[in-house]
Amino acid sequence: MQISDHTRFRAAERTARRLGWFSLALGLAEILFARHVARAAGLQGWENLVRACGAREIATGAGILLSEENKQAPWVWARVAGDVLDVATVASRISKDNPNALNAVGALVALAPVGFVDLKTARVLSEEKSTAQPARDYTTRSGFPRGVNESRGAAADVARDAAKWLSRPGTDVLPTSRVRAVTTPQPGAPRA
Amino acid sequence: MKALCYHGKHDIRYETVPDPRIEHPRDAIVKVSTCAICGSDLHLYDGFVPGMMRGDVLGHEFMGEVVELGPESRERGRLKVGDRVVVPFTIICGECDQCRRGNFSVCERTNRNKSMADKMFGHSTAGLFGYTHLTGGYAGGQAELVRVPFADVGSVKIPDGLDDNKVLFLGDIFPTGWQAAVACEIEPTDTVAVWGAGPVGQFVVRSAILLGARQVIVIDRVPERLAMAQAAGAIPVNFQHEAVIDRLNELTRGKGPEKCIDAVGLEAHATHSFDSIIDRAKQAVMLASDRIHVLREMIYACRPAGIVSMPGVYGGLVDKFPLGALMQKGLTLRTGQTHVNRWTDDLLRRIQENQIDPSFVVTHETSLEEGPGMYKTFRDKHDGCIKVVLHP
Repeated sequence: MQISDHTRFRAAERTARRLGWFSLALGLAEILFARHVARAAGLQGWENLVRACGAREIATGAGILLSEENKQAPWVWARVAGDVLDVATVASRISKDNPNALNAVGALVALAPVGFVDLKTARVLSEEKSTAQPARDYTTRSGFPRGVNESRGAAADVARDAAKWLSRPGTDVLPTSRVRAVTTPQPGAPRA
Repeated sequence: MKALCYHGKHDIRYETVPDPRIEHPRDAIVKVSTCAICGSDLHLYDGFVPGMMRGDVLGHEFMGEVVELGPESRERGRLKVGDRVVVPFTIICGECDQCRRGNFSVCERTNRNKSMADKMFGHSTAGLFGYTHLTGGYAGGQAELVRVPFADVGSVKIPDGLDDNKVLFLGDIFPTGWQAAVACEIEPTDTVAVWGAGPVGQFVVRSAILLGARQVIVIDRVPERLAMAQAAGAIPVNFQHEAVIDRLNELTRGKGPEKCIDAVGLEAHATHSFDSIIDRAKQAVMLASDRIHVLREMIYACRPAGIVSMPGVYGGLVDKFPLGALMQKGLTLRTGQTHVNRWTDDLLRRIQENQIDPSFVVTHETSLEEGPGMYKTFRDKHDGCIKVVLHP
């Protein structure tokens, strides 16, 4: 099956939403557990910077989730910019002076796939052509063989008697040949 | 036989299962010629409805040929081997108090897991095909063969000369859209606003037109779905590009639509509003089971003394329900699963008379084997997918 631009755009919108939730969760973790996050990323002593990053994550996450879905691109690009800052910050801590440099390397490895998804999503969302064309043309599928105007009100009799239809006794609905006395109960079903 | 089976969230498999057999004198075995994936199957696929077990056969929209009858079904004489039938998704006995009143979707006898449903909902509703053990745990119709309980009363006989795709939807989405529109007691001066342009929404639009609504407005965000609704005379509103309430007021001289219909249900996808963000968060931590952005918007938009009709499926508990607006505006709320057999004879006649051709909604048609992939295509609305039809 051919995947259209439109379909790619829809998939990117869904990915953006997931990134929004991820941002919120990561941001909260960075603010509430700054010391732990700093240690895990090789950034001891930079807890306030971690908290600032957390605030940024929450802002971009909320931005993505609260924006209309065809207007998410700027917020996802903001995530990409944040990724660049994160990489620069963590990379600066990979040195012999840092006893937890290995943690910083690990953090860099973790940042890479997220950054890749951010970048890919932002690029698809920014392709203007993706928003324009529906995947298929259904403009002739009215479902009314006689045309819309001819069909409007064709069942007005039911509309006029709606109250009756909505409370109609079943014995009027089902042909009497279908309704007979119960002879054998359905296995497992309680009897009326 | 081969069937589509549930194996967990987002895990549907095409696999071999035991052939069904006659278990009760009023059963029939139907060899399925055509079945469909319903929007409410996606609630199972996405794991929002409890009560599914691994290996359950899915599907509640199907039709085919009667290949075997239980002795009592045969004796009653309404069905015979070789008959072509559409099988409604609600299983009915035709004889209990509710069936005698035409309230088939709340048949008192066909849910064989009644005690489970009683605990969940207070009282049991009808058994359904392929739709959780809360509704009886009956094997569904996305299969080569199906056991149909009470076949002599529920099955809709189809005359020769009508294509499967024209009549298949008599088993669910056509009467569902129809009942939702009839429940609105549409008058020739009415504006009917329909949230959701999926398959049920499409039939709601056509039903409202047939019932004589002056103006039908449909709200969605998927261009193909809006285009299909527009083809039937609806005014499309893309909620991603337009403020829904403002647009509805503009189209109704500030008064709001008299009739509002929710063809979305518990998985409302609006994401740019604050309430839907809260819904998603609460759903994630199990503080609420359903997302009701559409329902809130409908109650807010509806003209005072109007009718809100709710064919969309909801499963559990909700939060921030605007009961005040519902009460103060004097709105009537109508809902429920579809009493399919109440409508089928009339709708079959309308198909035969060419008032409507329900096959318009079919956008994807393939083999049952492709079913697992089509669930994903349908769920993700890939490739302009609106309705999937499968052939065993």
